[in-house]
Amino acid sequence: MGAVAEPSGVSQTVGSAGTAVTASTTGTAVAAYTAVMVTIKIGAVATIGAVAAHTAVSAAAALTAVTAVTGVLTTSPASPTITAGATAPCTLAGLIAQAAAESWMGLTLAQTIAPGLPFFMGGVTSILDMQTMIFSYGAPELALAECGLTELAHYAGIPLWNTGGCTDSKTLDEQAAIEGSFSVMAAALCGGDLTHDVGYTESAMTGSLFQLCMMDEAIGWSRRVTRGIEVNEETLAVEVIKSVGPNGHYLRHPHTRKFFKTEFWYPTLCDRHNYEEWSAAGSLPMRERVIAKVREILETHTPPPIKKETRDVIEKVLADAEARVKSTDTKKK
Amino acid sequence: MSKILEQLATAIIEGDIDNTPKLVQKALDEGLEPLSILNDGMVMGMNEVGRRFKAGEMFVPEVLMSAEAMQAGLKILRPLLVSSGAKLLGKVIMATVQGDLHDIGKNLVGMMCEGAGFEVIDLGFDVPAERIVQAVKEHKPDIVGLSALLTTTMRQMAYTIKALEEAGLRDKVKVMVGGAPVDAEFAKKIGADGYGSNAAAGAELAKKLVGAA
Amino acid sequence: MEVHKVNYEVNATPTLQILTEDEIEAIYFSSLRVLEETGVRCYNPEGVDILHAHGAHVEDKNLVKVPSWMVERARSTLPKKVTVVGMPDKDGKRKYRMDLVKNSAYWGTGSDTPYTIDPYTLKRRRSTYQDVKNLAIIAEALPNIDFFMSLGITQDTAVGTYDRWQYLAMLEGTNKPINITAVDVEGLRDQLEMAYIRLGGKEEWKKAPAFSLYIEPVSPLSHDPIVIGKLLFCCDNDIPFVYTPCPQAGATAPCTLAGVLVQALTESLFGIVLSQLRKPGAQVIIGGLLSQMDMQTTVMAYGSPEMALLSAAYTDITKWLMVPMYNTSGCSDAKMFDEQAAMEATLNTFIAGLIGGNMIHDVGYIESGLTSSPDMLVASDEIIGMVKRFLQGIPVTRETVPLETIDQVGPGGHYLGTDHTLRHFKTEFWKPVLMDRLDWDRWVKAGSKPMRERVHQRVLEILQAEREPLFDEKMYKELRRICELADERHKGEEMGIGIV
Repeated sequence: MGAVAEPSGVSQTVGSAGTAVTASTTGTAVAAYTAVMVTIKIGAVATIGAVAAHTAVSAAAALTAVTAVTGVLTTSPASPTITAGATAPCTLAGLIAQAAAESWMGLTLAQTIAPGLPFFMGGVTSILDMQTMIFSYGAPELALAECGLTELAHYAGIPLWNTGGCTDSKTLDEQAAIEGSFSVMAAALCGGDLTHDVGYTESAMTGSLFQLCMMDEAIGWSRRVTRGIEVNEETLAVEVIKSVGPNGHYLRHPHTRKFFKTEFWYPTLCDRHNYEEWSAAGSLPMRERVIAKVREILETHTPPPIKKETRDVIEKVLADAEARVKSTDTKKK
Repeated sequence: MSKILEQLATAIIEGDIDNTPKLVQKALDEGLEPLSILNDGMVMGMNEVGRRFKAGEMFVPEVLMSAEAMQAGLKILRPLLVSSGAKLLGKVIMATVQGDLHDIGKNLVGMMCEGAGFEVIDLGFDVPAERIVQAVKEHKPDIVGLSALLTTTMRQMAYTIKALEEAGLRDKVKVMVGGAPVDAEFAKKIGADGYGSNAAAGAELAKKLVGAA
Repeated sequence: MEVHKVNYEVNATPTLQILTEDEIEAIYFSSLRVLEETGVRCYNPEGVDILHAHGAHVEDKNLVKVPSWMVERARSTLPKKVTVVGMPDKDGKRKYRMDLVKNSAYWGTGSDTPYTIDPYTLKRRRSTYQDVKNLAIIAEALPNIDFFMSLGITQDTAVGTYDRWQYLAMLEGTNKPINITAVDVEGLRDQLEMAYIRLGGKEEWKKAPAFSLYIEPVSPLSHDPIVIGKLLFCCDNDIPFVYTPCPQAGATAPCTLAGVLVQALTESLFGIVLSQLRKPGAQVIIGGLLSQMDMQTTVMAYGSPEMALLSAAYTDITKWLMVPMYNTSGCSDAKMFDEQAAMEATLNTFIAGLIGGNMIHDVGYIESGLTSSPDMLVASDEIIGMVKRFLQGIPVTRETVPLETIDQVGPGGHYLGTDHTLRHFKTEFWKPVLMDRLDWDRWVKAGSKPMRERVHQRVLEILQAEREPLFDEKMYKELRRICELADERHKGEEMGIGIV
């Protein structure tokens, strides 16, 4: 198999992060794994092979160009966007098996051309909503299937291209918050390595800066959870409890002073003021704070600039591509 | 502003409990007036602490350290201020009313009032009206602060105010109230002088009630 | 190949674990040390006497230090399962049953908020009898809400006897199991009387209690005299009770999360020891609303990740102790039902479900537990639905990995018309009620509504729906009489200060 990324730290049970989520056992993973191998054997049809080969060759060409400049091999994800009930089996286990099969077709091809090329598997695993016929980006099944797929990927030693922070909502609202947060938390708990689509709304038809910004908060929240609880002499604080005693308080204790900044996650978009202070500040719902923050970032943030040499190379690649496309168009005419 | 006063303000902001009294003494030795040391040095520092806290740049444990530094400095200044006849910020008696054991809110208000420069006498929790009256007689505070967490103990605030009236002390003190089920309307209903929605608001209210804000 | 072989292990559902067994033991033995060496303050003399008589050390009149062997002994009679069953319906059937035992998850609301969001004006105001009743009606209608707590305080009744009126309001709205609060032992006794009337007799209560009592120690390490009085009454009258603290890390508990767990466990163990001494087998539920004081605003954070993490870690501890857990979710620090309320409720409900938290309360709480929100309650029902779908996990069988169907469909084919899809789509896919999955054009045509409007519409639908009273006028009068008698006994104390 291809190169393997570091497994995520979420499943450690020693030390600080003691959380583990499994949606299936290793026994089950083996079953899916073997099923996938069978599928590949049966399903190696010329059409798929040709398409995959063509894609792989083009991808390899682009990769070579960038590699020449940066000197670094980039990774290639092979990640289907796969719909339970439509382009995949209705049941999630079947969906996962097929998603993996599709990824590993690309994997096999890529490793044949460029052995040792770093590789991500994954994709967007979700369902076809059987009433509205959309591919749902907010369904709980998306998060659940991604968790299952993550476990299969990690079992196979491959990092996962995960999905989360997205929604079917058409606007910045409570549904967007619920659906996005749900898949963000699932992604954090299962440790799927790169979680993309944060900021996707309207079932991936609209990219929203607001959703992206709002989800940053959910990600911070989730990361505090996966950080876990550290248990040692100092954190158990038995002596501190003794020194404070019944009916005392801890607000001035050196132990509190030592830990209050690091033990707690402090929100920036979730408001924890009391009612009077929140009213005095305008009684704002969260969406207003999100919008204000996005605008502030756009108005004030300057990203570090790209080096001129890099910029020149990119512009040349672009110019060559444009010329090529234009000449093909002329030929067609 | 003189350099020493700047240093004093900084010591307050940094919550330097050891250095603040040393700087106070140094300022006195340099011939500065106690009232000026208080108002132009220490209070300036606390005002900045208040501003930063409100802006989310300082946190409660840090604010409380500043309050402790304030009190450490005041320990030297208070007798000097009293003997010179200067008007101190005043005395606050804090209590959680009878039947109620919750006192973290009350504790926090007390500490923030100390930060503002008040002398705070904390009677604790589950304090019957009679004991509060007794304490007012004994300590002659400027303000009485009452806290309650339950609607069933909220009534004790009314009893306490009534008890102060009956003892002929009601017009000698300002009464401020607070706690989760309390609000401004309830405070008005029972004849209290003010309501603080949290500890910082409580300290601000206390300053206002003694005419210092 | 064979999917199911011999010695084959399966995860039927996802699992979440915060603490290892070693960490749980470290916390447990630290709690035992605190209980034995630091002790707790118990302000109820009867409680102190009982503990002293059975081996505890008492100093300074009410500082009680409980040796570890007393805890171990208490654990031997402590029930691993607590059952609360709701009230009978028109046919006399008590169909709502909660078996609180390791890894069972039941969701319910929270109690005694001074404020509520008016369902018609959407303004925040003091809660009343009608609000408690309305919220009970909403809870009764929601499929994912299993038990009810008042989501308000009846502040348009007498203050000193509000608990009886509050219970009546809850009984009018729902037959689901209720977790009550009580002013004192007398209030508890009155509510028990009311429950007997509603059940049709004391014998029915013996079959299964219809309510549990919520009481709490005061952190740190302090036990109120009236609270202990209620605890003892519960033991004497087969009333299950929740004995859980609300520690705030950094203020009323250590700033470190492990330290919060140690202190909270100490406080609850005290309740366990006393209860088992009074009545071996007394039914206790422990856990709590464990959180932090937000060090920027001084508010006790209901929507924080630390709250969820602490609740989940404590659940690990209660599983190890084999005692039912009082968990927390569906709550927020937001001052209205908005994206923050939705986000915080989603995140903490997800954690509570995954950890398997038994009696998961506070659904519908906003403003850090000061205000109840009907919209939040209805939206949270939807969130719980999503979480429950996730908790079903991914079964791996011949049927769920349908190799023959995959082969038949083949590359480039589709599954829309296959038997396999037809067999499974109804059960495999969660059906949203409040989530919108329309495409853009249809959503615009339908009014471009944000979720809060759909949620609110549902609140109004439930409140405006025709419903039959849960019991007849005769029973209502009997129940009401208990409240009125209580008012009569206490009328001198009101001081004419209405809160509302």
